[in-house]
Amino acid sequence: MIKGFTKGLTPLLNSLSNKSSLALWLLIVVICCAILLVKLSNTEQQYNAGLLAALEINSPKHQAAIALGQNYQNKLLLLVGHQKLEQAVTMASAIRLRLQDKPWLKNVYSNPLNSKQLQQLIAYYGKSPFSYLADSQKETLITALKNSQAQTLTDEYFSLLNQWADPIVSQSLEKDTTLTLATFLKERLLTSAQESANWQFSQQELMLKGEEFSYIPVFISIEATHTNIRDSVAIYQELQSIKADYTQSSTENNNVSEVLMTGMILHSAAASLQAQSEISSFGLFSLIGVMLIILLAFRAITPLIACLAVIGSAILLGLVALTLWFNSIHLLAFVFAVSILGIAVDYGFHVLVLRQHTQESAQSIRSKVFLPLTIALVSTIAGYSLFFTTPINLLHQVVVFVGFGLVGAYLSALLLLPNIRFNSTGASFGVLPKQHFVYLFVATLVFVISISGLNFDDNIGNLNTKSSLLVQEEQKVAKLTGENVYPYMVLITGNSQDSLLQESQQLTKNLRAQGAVLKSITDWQLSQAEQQKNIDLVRANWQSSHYHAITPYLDDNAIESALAKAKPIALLPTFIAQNMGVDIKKVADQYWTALLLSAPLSELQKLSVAQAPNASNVNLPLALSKQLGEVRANVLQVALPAILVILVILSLYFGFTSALIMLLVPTVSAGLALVFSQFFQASLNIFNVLACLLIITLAIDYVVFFRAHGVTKLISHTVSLSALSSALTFGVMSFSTTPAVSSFGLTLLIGISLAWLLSHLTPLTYIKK
Amino acid sequence: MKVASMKAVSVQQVLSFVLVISLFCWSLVTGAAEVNSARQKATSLQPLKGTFSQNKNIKPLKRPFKSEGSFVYLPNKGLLWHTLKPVNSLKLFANDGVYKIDDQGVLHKEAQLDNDFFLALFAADEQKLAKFFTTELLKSDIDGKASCLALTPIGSTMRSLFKKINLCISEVIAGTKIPTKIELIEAKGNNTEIQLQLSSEKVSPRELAYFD
Repeated sequence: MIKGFTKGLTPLLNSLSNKSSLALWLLIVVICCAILLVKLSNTEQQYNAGLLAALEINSPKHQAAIALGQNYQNKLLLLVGHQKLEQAVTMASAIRLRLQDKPWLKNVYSNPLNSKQLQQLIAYYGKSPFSYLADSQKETLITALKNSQAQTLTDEYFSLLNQWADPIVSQSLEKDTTLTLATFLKERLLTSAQESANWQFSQQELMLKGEEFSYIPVFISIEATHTNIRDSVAIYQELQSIKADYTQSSTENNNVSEVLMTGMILHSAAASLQAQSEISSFGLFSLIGVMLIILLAFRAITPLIACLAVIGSAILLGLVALTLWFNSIHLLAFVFAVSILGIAVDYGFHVLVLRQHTQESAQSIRSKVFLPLTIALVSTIAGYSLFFTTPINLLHQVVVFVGFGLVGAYLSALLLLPNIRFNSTGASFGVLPKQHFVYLFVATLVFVISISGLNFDDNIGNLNTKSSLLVQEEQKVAKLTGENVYPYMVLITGNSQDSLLQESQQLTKNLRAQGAVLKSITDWQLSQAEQQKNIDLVRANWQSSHYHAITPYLDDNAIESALAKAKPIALLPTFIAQNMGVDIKKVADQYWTALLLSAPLSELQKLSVAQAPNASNVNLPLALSKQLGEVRANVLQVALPAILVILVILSLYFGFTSALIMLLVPTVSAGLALVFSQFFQASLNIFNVLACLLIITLAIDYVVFFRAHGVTKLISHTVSLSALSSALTFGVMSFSTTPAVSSFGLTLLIGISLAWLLSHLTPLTYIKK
Repeated sequence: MKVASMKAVSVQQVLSFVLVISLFCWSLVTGAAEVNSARQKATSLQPLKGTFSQNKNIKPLKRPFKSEGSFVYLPNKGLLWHTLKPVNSLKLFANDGVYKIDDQGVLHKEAQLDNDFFLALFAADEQKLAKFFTTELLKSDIDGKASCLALTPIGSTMRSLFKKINLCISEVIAGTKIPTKIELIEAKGNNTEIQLQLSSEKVSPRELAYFD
């Protein structure tokens, strides 16, 4: 079939004149440029970073967990520390002032009782002040009804009124003179905050006491429209500058101070900056390396420009496909995509080496390279396409970029390069060592013996890059606050918001009774039925004249008219989420919420969760790690049939025995690459395995060239150039700080080197009879 | 010659005499100062007991909220605030926070805000007050034993609570001042006036025990 396809296309290619092939190439380039320009000018391309964003999560439970965790995406916490609390207050105030006009800022405050947040809460709950009751007051009201006496209720009212300075009381009085709302907000905002952590109020300020410093928090909320990568980086840089400024000025004044910062968005920004730096440095290094190889091989400028045109077209086509295919592009895709430099330039080498050593016409060169180039293109794209079987969205993007990029390189190599003419004799990279099957046999033996010793670890934490500085600061903040920066989750699902809230309320109560410190949506949002129960409880107490002692202070019929108006407040999870971080999300036609725990569940608490019908403990990193482990096993299941298909195709051309030997070279090289990678890594991961797929598809080309054209110095020269450029571009990746990228690059570097060696040492000249 | 030598001796003697007398006087002065400071310290650490009446004008309420009770102030230690009417409540404002004292005498730390600056108000210590307020002298009597200060909050948190605080203080014992009137004018227009009066009643050992 392939033979028929290539035979059919060869005359078509031969019919192209030099001018028409050049015009066709130019047309493709111009169309691609136009598409890219239109696409980039019309829509702003979205980018993301961080390995979590690279994974495609299919389970509704995990999608819900990620959606519920989004509230943390737009929240930042700065801790401004100084030896003197007053200084810390002043510094925090100056930082708030500096941030105030930033377009991305939604809200900034240090004291929750002196903020827009408190006013918003009073406005929201003030609509029906009896719908929500503090637990302590609820108990008082129930006891008052039971014992038919209201002394405690009256005492609590007068105690609150008797206080000298209470912002919650003074601000909520206008909405509710019975102080039911004030009691509720005080319990929720103060008691829970102080029970769960080391937060305390001193000199009227919410603060943390460290060993050396007193810390004032600066809570920052970012507008949802500004959580993209570009803005995240701007925010990160702004905060870094604030940190530097305040630490520096304090040092000059001979005082010691510090600014600690935490927030998920900072990790995305740091990862993005790292990725951007790697894209540019790896890209530049690879490009210079490839250019040097070209100059050494051809010792002329024309082939260099020609190769750069091939690389340029590859990048152009890859970018067009990527922007058309995906709405949001992962920055790590570009880091992986640097490899296109090394693979694309191979296509140029094949044509230019032929041109260097013959004076044949462009048509003749085109028809000679058409078959090997097509096989190389198809096999590489087929290899990369296996990445589509993984749930790793990042790799799908790599496939699209590299796949279309290679089509660009292939078309350029066929349409543009055969027309190029130059006279030079460059350095030869060809080597012709003595070939023997024993080398392949020994390599296979080593591979078979060592394969059982391979050690895999799919923990996602080992693959992700985290700025060590940010991690250190997070640890420090966690120690100071006594809370985990990112909470542990118990997910609860329900068919309706009301049923979800009812189950959540019960589980929250049970877990708290077992000592869990947690944040729950039901602290701030109750089902309509539960709200009505609260209103009825207040009404029953009023009807029993339990508010008798306080009514002289209130307007005539104040409680009566408030009760007449009282009705459950409409549920508004988004408002609660913005203020409190606890939320309800709809995923896969179900409502979901999460209890946010500051510590992992105890065995007893796990039992309570297991007994709740719709609740489950979520460990997202563990689930993702498990998913990666499954993907790794699946890759082998997909790779095996793919290898068999390649064997069949090669058998059709070169016979079964030759095909088997040809396939053994890349397969053993890939396997040994894994074995040797383990010398440099504590454990192997999915990216090492994925690199093996690529080694096989790239190294197939080497054996195909040797087998198709014979073992000559010219073919060795071409294969060596190709291997050198690929090893260079993939090898650079092994220096990445992202373990996923460095694992991939390292295995490819070792694998390509081994494939080059074995393809030279193994006799492939068996000819089909 | 003899006269001359006598004169020389007498100059020496005079110089020695002056030196000895000076040293003696200096030692007396410093000794007296030390005794004075120790005595002052002893009196300033003595607990003071008194009564208070509080009148709160809260805009949304139909009538003013009045309360009364007693207090025990132990300088550098804290303030025991016992409201008797209309509610019986006992609170301890200590350096490390505010405690509610239940009927059994057990202290429960409150999620309360106002310990530091109220202690500063009671101490009438200008250095401590300067942490929270800019102070302006409203009036002072002739011997300087009583004065009234207008305090304007510095920090945004305090500003959101109070527009101004008027504090009248009086020196009750040498070196010890306590407030006689505190007027809290809230940002929202509410107003609290606290009148304080020292009483001759002795501080009970039980009351003192709360400060430990």
